[in-house]
Amino acid sequence: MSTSMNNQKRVAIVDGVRTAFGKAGGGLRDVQADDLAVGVVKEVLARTGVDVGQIDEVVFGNVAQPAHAANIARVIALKAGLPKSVPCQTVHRNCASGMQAITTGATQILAGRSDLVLAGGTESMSNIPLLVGKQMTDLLGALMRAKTLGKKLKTWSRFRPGFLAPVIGIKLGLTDVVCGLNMGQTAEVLAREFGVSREEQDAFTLMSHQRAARATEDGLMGEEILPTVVPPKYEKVQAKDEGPRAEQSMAALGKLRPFFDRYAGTVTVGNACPVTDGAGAVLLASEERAKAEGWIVLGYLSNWAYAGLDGSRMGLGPVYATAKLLEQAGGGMDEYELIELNEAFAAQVIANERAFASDEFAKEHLGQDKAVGEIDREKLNVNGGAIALGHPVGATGTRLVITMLKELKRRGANKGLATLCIGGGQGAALSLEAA
Amino acid sequence: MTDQSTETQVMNGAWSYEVDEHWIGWVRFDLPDEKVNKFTSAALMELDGLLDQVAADQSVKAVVFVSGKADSFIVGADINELAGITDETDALGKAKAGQRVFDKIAGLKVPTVAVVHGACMGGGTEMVLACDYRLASDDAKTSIGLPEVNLGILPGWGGTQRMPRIVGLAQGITLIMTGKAVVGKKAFKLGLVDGLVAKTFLEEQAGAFVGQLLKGKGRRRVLAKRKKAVGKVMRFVQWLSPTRSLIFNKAEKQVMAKTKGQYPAPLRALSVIRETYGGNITEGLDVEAKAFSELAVTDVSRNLVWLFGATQRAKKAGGGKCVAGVERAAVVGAGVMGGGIAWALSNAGIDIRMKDIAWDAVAKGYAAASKMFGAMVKRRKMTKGEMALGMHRISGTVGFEGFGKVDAVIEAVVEDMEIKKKVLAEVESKVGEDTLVCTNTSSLPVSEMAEALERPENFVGLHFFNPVNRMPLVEVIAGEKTSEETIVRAAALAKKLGKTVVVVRDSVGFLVNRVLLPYVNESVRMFEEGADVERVDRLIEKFGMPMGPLTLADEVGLDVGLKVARVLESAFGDRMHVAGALSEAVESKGVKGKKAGAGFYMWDGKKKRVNETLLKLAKGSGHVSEGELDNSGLTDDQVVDRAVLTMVNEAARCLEEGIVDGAEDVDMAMLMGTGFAPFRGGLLRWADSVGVKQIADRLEGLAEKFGDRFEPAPLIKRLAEGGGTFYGQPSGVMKPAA
Repeated sequence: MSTSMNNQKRVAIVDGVRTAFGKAGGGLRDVQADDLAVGVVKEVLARTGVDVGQIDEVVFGNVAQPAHAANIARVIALKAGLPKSVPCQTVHRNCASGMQAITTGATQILAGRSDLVLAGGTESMSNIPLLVGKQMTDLLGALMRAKTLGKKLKTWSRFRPGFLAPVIGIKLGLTDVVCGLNMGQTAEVLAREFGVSREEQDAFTLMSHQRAARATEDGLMGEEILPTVVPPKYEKVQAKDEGPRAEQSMAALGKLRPFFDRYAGTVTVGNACPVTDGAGAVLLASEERAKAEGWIVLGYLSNWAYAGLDGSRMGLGPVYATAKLLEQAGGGMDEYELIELNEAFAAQVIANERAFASDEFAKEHLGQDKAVGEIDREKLNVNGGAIALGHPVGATGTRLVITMLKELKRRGANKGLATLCIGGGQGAALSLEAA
Repeated sequence: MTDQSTETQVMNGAWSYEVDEHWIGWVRFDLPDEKVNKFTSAALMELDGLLDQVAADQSVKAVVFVSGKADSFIVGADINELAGITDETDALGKAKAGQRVFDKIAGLKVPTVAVVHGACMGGGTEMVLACDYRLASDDAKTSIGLPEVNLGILPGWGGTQRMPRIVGLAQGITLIMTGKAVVGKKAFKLGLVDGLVAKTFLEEQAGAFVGQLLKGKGRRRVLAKRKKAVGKVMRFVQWLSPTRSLIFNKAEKQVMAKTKGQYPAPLRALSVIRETYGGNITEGLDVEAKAFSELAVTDVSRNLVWLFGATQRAKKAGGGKCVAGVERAAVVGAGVMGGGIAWALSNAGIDIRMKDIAWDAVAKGYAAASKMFGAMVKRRKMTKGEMALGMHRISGTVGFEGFGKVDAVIEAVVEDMEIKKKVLAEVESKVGEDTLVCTNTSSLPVSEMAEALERPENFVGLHFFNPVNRMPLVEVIAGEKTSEETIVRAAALAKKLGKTVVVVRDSVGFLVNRVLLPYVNESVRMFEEGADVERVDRLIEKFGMPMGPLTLADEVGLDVGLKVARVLESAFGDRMHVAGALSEAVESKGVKGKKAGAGFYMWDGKKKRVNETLLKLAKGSGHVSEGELDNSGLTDDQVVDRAVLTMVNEAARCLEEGIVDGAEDVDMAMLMGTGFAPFRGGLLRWADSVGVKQIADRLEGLAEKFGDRFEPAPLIKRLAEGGGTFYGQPSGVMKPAA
């Protein structure tokens, strides 16, 4: 199997663009996930100049799956003016949904079932609703069935004020129902397992902010962002990511109290990625098609792997997935000139650094003799990561691919690794190449 | 269907009658050689005869009226016959003829049901009202209304009698006085129809409805539903004399506010209903017919009927059926105009790239478009979801991405020749060989702009008026090198946006601004001479303009007006000399009009009061009330003449220079572009009705008293001498060879 995958054809990523990432409750809070994505989809179509009638499929990743937009990919495509004849599917692999959209599209292309696929990811974490609890739901259901006033009154008599306590959708979404831990708690698990101190986490956080702030300042982020003119008033333009803080400091970070384990913890809201709104989209094409069209493409997806692991240590997904990718593709970590490793938590990134470098870890958990390979921080998340930029769960995977390809191009570098940990205990790793 | 002689009888001509196996008689209207059904005298007579036959048919249990046209019911009486009414007696005869036929329908012994799908207007609606029951399809193409007042008449075939009886007094008055049509669903809600049917199953469902009717229970249920639609409270209110008066008084107030008393028809319709409501229908019909006959011969009605025809003709202007072939377009310059044009394109289902140089500017375009969509949502012309789709059709950019795919570009940057040239040249380099390139300019010569282009044949002026969503006119300006095909495509695009098109020759100010600005300028001169701001506006409004010239100046923006006025002055010289008060107001006082809160008036939202600080620019004027003179010493007639005849004079020059094809084009452009008083029938039509000789005399009088600028145009002099009219000029003959 590994041999055949090694010779796998590449899929062209023709162009890609994303929205600015807005903090939940921030500048993009009034824009629903589907509406966020429409602008970037239209922009990709405009930039590539592709004939929309020739697009074979639209694939979008989204985690929270808003109730008003079932199969959100279809809603986005139609709102963006794609022909009704283009089929659309929504994919869900939790935090990797925006990557899953790309690999699903790539799979279709490699299988010869599609030639042009519009892929992307979107998430409006500002708009994840509060839910009505089970008891209240039952009561409301019973009320609807009660026909007479007497029956209605009798039903209401079952009401208790406690029924009104809302179920917080986002909290449920960020909790692993199997291992029972929320995502922050899994980061605490890794901090302890790998001995990642609070100070190390905060230092990494500071670096992320400084790099992201610099990339914003220098206009690098501007190259991948389509400004959003924010409805419903259209007075404000969201052109920059809201997260990065140039003035971030160790002192300020040090003041924050641990959030997930208030007594003995190390993970704070500062050294974790914030809850965020955003969307991204790319156009995928078979390499032959891209060449035939004469497109100057952004880059290529040459290989990828997904891997599973224990949910309570989900943050280590990158090392598992990358090990699998390298096994498939051959070669080693040193081939990658740049690495985007999604920053769910500073503790989790540092734990990965240690696991990547550890022979012992490789032996114990990956069934390999040698370490996967060391990660050079000078190659890692060179323009900052999710701790500063934010992590709109369904969109991040798409952003990592766009950010990576743009930076490879800028540097004249060739190969990059984009990898990401996935809630519930999975990892994703994509091998990307510059055009 | 065994016995042909009794069960199936097919008439020759427009109407057919067929009895089905359930003994239901189907009366079908299908006017030969026409796309739609209308009541010509012949068709009405034929129905008359058919109804006698139906009445004599003892076997039939119910009669159903349907249309034989695909998506049209009956659009009303034949407008040509309306236009051909000679005098009151003729009109009275026409009204009575229709009333008599519809009385026959009402008098049929068996239940009668009309099944409406498609447009059902005027006489069509009156026929339907004469039936015992009505059904309508829930299709978007179905609309039912009594638009007679829009033609300066009232429903004269029983509409004023039967409508309030069926839908209640308040709704009946509203439908008749506004002339607005309702869709099937609304008609059902009002009780105007008794049920909804699907177009696909129209006859089946109508048959089932009749089946229900024939059982007593079903009939009672339908009637109860109709009663419920009117509502208990309303039935009480319209029954009780004092509250009934209240309804009439309120309606009268509303119509006065809207028409300023210049349109007699809605008022007359109201008085007919007031006089006859609750009384005997035969007497009521007599009163109605009398009122109809009097209205039909008024100038206002004649003018509105002409306007209706002219509007239809204008729809065909610049190439009748040509499709624009525009699916994607771009707008360059996202200001108020650019945003408005983007709205118009999006609203027509066209995908738009909206470009400006910075995102903050792009946001302004989005805001302008959103405001216009928002207004549609507010008026329930669209849903919020449709608005969201409309906004998504617009995508902002600060680059030229996507321009390679557009079928048309409309440039709407600032009115500056050099900037426009630069922008247009860049745009042209980014779009396809066949892309239509348009400039939205209000006064700059299109041919000069074309000099910057490689493909001037694809380039055309497309002058939208502000605000784009409310002004129905677009001037299509053909430059010297603009190809015939480009003109046709541009006109088709404008029509696709729902606009009325007037094709004009490329000359400074084109048509509307060239005629309108001197009129505003003259009004400013009168202000300078001491005329009261409010008096000038009041008198001109009384003449019939939708707003006074000084209010208009404030609305447009004094700075914008001044800019165009200067362009006109430099092209046409002394007769367009910019009034000193206008340039001083803008340049010394920094007054810009409504948008900045101060112009000739101080603006507070929609409220306004005279701007006292500007009075220093005038020969001291105080407020005067109606009928009083102010410091200018001008009589009321002089004020109106100086303003309005200035327009006539300039329009005559445009006609002579071949800016447009003929007088009707001038009038249509002024009606649609400025809201020129429709009841006067258009600027030149009005001048013709006054008499060109008299116009010439009055202009000469003004020239003597107020200056050479009033010197009658050569065409006016010629017509005055020869006793001709503007409309007597064959169209197009004056156009210089292109």
